[in-house]
Amino acid sequence: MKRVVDNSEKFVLFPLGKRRFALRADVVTELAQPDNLQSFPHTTNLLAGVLLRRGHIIPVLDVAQILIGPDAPARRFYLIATRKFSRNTELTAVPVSGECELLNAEMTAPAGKMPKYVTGLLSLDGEIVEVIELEKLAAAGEAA
Amino acid sequence: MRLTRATNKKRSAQTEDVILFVVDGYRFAIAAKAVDEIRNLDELSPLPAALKHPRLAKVKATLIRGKKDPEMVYFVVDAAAHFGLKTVPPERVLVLRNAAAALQVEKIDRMTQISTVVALPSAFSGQERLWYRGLAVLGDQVVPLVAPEAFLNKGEQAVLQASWKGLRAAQGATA
Repeated sequence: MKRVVDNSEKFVLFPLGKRRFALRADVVTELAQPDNLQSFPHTTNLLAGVLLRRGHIIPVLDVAQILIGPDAPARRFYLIATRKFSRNTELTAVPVSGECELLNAEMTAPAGKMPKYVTGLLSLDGEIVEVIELEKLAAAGEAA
Repeated sequence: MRLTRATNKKRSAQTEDVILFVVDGYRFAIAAKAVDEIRNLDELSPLPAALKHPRLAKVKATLIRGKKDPEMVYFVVDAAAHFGLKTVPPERVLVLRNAAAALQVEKIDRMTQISTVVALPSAFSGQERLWYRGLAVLGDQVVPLVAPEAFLNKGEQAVLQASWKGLRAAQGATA
């Protein structure tokens, strides 16, 4: 009798305009309703400001600029995820343009020339969804 | 064994007095103990050409407080230029303590106390890591707490002071 091996993992799909992307579910903590984005002067690329949630100050990483370019639609929710730094881990808010979805899927290795922040691909009913690693995406934004 | 009644002492929260100021619509906080005086624009003079340097373009003027410390010259930093903001006509100057520096700002908001200063999140990796001591939470607002030494560091002050002395010596020689 053949043993079925399940290689699927959990991912959170999030929309940016007409395209969808994914994060590994283990880095996502919540999907937050629209909140008061606060900004102050800084020189870090991709950071749009901060949210104040339950006493925590959470930086907002506007990934749409890198993933789909300057014509990104209005972001309606914030996906709160953890992001690793050399000495610690912090929460980061990612603005998304719609509801997110949690699913099990099997990830395949990126094909062809893909940006370093794409760590894998999900094939979902004919749609190819890129799995994103936030740390590498932020580094790409810094280099831009 | 002697029993003592437990006292219900309430620990007072550590608070810090800060001055809130505004530049191009953004609000900032600075420790009150870092500020020697808040004044209007009187006694400001345009920065002499001999002191102008491309890397110190944010220094716009000099201040000599004739009645208070006439032997001292303060180099006035434009806060909008320092933070890369749109220049708005300033109304006030904050003379910094223990430094040859002053800061011209759009306006002063108020003095208040803060009890919590949060470290700047690691996601911020640019110039702001030098600009700010941390972030203060005032009600539901996040306000950056500026590092006074970032406006003009000791090296920059030394360069300006040396240029100033040279200029005054030259003016004295030609007088």
